[in-house]
Amino acid sequence: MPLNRRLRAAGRWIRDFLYGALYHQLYLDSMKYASSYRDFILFMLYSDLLGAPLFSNTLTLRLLPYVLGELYGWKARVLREKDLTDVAPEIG
Amino acid sequence: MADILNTPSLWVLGALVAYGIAYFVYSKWVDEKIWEVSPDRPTPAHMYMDGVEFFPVSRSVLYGFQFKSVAALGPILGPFVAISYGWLPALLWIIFGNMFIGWVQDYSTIMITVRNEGRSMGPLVYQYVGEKPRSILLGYLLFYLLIISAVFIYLISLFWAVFPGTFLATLTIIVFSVIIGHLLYRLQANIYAVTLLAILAVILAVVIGVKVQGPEKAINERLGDNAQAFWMVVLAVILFIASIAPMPTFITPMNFVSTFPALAGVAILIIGALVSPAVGVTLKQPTYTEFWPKIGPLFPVLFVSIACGAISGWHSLVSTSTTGKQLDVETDARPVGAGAMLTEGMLALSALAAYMVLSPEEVGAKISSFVLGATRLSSSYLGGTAAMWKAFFALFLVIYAITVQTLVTRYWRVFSGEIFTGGLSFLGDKYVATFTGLVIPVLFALSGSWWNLWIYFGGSNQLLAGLALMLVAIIIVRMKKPPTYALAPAVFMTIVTISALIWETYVYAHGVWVYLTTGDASVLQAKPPLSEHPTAAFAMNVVFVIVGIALVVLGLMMTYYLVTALSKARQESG
Repeated sequence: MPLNRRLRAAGRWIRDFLYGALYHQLYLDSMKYASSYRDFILFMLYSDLLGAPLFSNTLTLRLLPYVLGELYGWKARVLREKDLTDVAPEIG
Repeated sequence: MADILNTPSLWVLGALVAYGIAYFVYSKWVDEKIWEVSPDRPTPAHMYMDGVEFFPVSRSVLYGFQFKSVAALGPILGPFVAISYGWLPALLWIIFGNMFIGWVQDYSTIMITVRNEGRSMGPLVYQYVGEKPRSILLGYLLFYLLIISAVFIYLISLFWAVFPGTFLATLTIIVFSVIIGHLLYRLQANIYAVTLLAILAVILAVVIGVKVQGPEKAINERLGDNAQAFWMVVLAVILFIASIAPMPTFITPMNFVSTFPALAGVAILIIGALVSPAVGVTLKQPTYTEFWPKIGPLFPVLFVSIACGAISGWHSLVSTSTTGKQLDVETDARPVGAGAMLTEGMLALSALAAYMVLSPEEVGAKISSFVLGATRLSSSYLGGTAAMWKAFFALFLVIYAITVQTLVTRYWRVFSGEIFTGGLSFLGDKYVATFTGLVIPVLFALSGSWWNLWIYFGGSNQLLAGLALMLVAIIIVRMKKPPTYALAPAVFMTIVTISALIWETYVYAHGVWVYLTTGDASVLQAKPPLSEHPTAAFAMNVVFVIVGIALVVLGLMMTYYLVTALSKARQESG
């Protein structure tokens, strides 16, 4: 591999490493925080998909196209068996 | 040559070669022959992608994340305890612990998650061992959280008491973290601007740590022996607020800001250890002291004194709860799991180097001596004043510890909310749980027997590693593969750690027994101000005996269930 490509690859590796070390945790925490609210709203609107109809009406159907992409991940997340070790903090 | 041998450099380089062999030969063999990894086999990150917990992340990003997650204070503080035996035993344990046990656990626990639909430790124990062992595991973690809290509360308060200016520096970081949280989550500020602010906050905190020492000096002088107790209360208040506040307002931004001094400190230490021959820093610690110094016998105490840095059970939780769910392809498990652990070994070696360059008198029984050693290593090649480096490394340790502690206190609260039900549900209340999660560790820390608590911490942490490795062995047996590479370290760690926990329980029990029979309070494990109140010191020692017994019993029960599950797996797999 030519030297300039090697250097570029090394630069990319350092950039990715720093992103992983400095920002990835921030990203994960933010996503989890946001999803805790989103999951709750989706549960209120589409709980019938989980077998617990709470708020099924025409409004939920009108909103469906906007959240369709998220429903699969939401269902998997909510139905997944949770454990306290799932939320163990990254403390080394 | 003799000159180079008398510096940390050659030893650190030697360890690098050993880690190279572990990574390029041993881990490669395990990867190819035992797990038979394939880039074509889908990982949970792809199978269950939801963008929150499950999503593929590139190997270099995940390596950085894993390294940052596993390299906390353990590898930095552990060598301080281990150096009681001389630097050579500590060095050998860091090298061989990493080579044969540390990476094995981190890598293998990622693999068991990847091969089991992204399940974390608890569900895996439930699936392969049973329901009761999972409950025991959670009970065990409960005790572990109390001990780790006591260790860090003691450490942070000690640093505030020993290094004036550090509290104000910490407060600066906390205030900036709250501002950064607001900027990020309310105002959605640009991440580069926020990064710049975080770096400025760290610089400002160091300047404050150097320049504004007067008020804290006055407080410490006025309070004398009670200064540390005072700082413990201040810390408890901060931790209480952190634990009950929403994550984005305190803990998340604090975790973010603290990464900057942490990474900088780690890099400075590692480079400092490597360039030591060029700058004239020499070894001052004895190579070997004795088998049975004051801290306890080399076997088993040495092996639990350096936990993270050689092998840490908590890594198995990190690997299964987060990393394993984000692995892009199976072939990334080795660079991420094994690579990050071996890099952490480098950090432990560099921290050891910081103690190696201090004389035995300078180290003494002072955990704060790390700051002195790190200052010597850094200023020798980077220049700068000793005061500046002292302020930086004191802040580095405190910020690291306080970030870990905020997470632990919050985890305790979440934990309590889940496990205390029925008549005990009041213990799971947000405020009550936070309160108990702080009061008990503060009482533990007030005993002042930090060394003993550290052995409990290391022992329970590494017993978790032994149990995780045994779980790995069970899964490998079910895969009809030879489990020796995981089983042998599992057996070693289980024996060593249970022995260490029994030893430490004996130390406390012996003190209690002598006090009861002779009334001699000097044998109790306590320091001022607690040691001035023999009855309170006695009561605390009794509590530590109970904690020790609980840890040993829970560890033995867990071992029993795992061994039973292993033999059952062997029978069923033919």
